[in-house]
Amino acid sequence: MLIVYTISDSNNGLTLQGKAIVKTEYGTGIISNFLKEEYQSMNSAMANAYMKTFPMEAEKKVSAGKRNPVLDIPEFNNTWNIYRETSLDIMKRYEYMAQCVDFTDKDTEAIRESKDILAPHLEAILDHIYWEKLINDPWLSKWFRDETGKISKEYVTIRRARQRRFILKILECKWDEEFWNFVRWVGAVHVPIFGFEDLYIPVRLNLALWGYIHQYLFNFLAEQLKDDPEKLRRITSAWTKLFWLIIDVYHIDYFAPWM
Amino acid sequence: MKINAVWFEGDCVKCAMCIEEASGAFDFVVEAGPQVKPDIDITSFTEEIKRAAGLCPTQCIKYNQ
Repeated sequence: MLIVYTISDSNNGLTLQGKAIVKTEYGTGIISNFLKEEYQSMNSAMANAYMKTFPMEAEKKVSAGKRNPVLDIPEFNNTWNIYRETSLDIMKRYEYMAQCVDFTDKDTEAIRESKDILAPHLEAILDHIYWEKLINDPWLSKWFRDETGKISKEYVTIRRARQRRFILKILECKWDEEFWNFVRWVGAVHVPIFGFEDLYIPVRLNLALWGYIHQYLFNFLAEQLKDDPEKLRRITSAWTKLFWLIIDVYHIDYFAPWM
Repeated sequence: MKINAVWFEGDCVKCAMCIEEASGAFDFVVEAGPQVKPDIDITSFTEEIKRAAGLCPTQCIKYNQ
């Protein structure tokens, strides 16, 4: 393994450079003159651990002059542009995801249609989700307990009110930037990113709760629309698509961009 | 119809949603909770105040119009 050193000593204005061929588990050689001590210092348990973690670092480096031709292929160039734009612009993200899941104006109309069925029962639905499901779940209920372990009724009331506002916003059917930024914000405050730096709600719990609400709403709608299967199909199909769109935006701040 | 008076009454749980909905009309004071901002033209925040009142979990926001 050939190592090229550049060591700067800013205090003395001194720069030392040298080459060393060394013996490690990755290769054999000699180490020369003044850099030996520095190398031995580097060749520590930590350096070994680093090399085991990143074995590619021990491989011979290929010149960076070779460019990656992937963007010369129009299809891949287009894909890169979609990735880049949907990562930067929340509306483009929504538009892309909407066309992927086939969420159209007909679905928006179906969700608007469902308002007449859901709104009169919204309080009962929320009561069930919060006062029956959440506070009785052994893990989900953790965030609704006070320091003694008892359910904090006041806090449940607050969370229920916020969920109510969220559902009312959905029922307005305005899929604009303000709405999607609101969805993103609701997700973001569940991770230690902004505002509540000491809070972290695991993804699986979000999915558990969204999944529960999803099936609960569907069963509720099935009961309400048992005499109109076409309307039921229309509304549940629209809500399914919307749930996936929301789950995507909700989790933006849970993951690094490359995830 | 425009709102000409607004006040808080009852057991506020300090969820602060009213401030989010009507930040021009309400302020959040630590310990005391939400307060109506002094020296503002209430009528110009009619829609925001009504929306906040509709979302208040304990129906604490009262108003006259």
